[in-house]
Amino acid sequence: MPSRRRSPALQYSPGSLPTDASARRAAQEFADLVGRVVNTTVSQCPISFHQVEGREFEGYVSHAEHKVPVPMPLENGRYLYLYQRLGLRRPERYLTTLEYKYQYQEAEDDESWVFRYEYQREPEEGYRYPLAHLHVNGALETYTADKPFPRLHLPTDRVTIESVVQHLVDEHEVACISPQNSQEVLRRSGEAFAEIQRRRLLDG
Amino acid sequence: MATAEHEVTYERVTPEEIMVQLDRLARDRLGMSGEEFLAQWRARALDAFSPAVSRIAVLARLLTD
Repeated sequence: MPSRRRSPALQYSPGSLPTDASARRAAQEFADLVGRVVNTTVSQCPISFHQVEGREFEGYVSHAEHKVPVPMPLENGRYLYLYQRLGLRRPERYLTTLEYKYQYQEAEDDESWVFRYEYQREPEEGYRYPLAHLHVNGALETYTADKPFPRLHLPTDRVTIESVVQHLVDEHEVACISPQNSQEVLRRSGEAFAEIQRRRLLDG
Repeated sequence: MATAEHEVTYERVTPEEIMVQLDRLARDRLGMSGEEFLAQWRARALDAFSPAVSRIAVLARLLTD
């Protein structure tokens, strides 16, 4: 039976997570953060966190049907496939992103994709591209190499859902659901993520 | 005016439940069973760039150590 809770104020700074219960709480807080960012801005679709049984603590944040991620309709009639897989790594048991995929698409069908940001912390053996990258489903007259342009893995830093949402609002005409506080939510959420990254750097 | 209220759902999912959905997607999108997909994916015989393969591979990674 799924459990639901309304999100408190933004709060995601878990640090070391010695028990699965603390990991679960941190993952829930992270999912709350994502839910708040999405639901105050680009989509009214519910966001879920699914914990995968039978593995060391691991789960994923997404809009899901039948417990698996599906593209969610946006306020501009397009779709966003949002997927973040979280797990514990390092001796300190930090909750970290193992994989993400943010795919903007014209319709529900994946073949209508426009761009997709992807990241894999631990790719399959033999993978030789940037761990964090961008694919763009377009063609350039100035690009004449053999490899199709959409197949290029354009390197990026790790991209946050906040920056993708901001991009959708600014340049894809997605009308904000709650314009009076969306910028504040995006700003505070982005700051929380930056603070987590800063602490990790200090911890080495 | 729409509100900023939101609810986040927390659920557990079993590997068997993931496999059911992987199988459904693989049959629907690629015309193969979930087991066939996993075998070919592990053998790197699929085009990982394909939107359909990429979408199903998300589930496959949840079933792989």
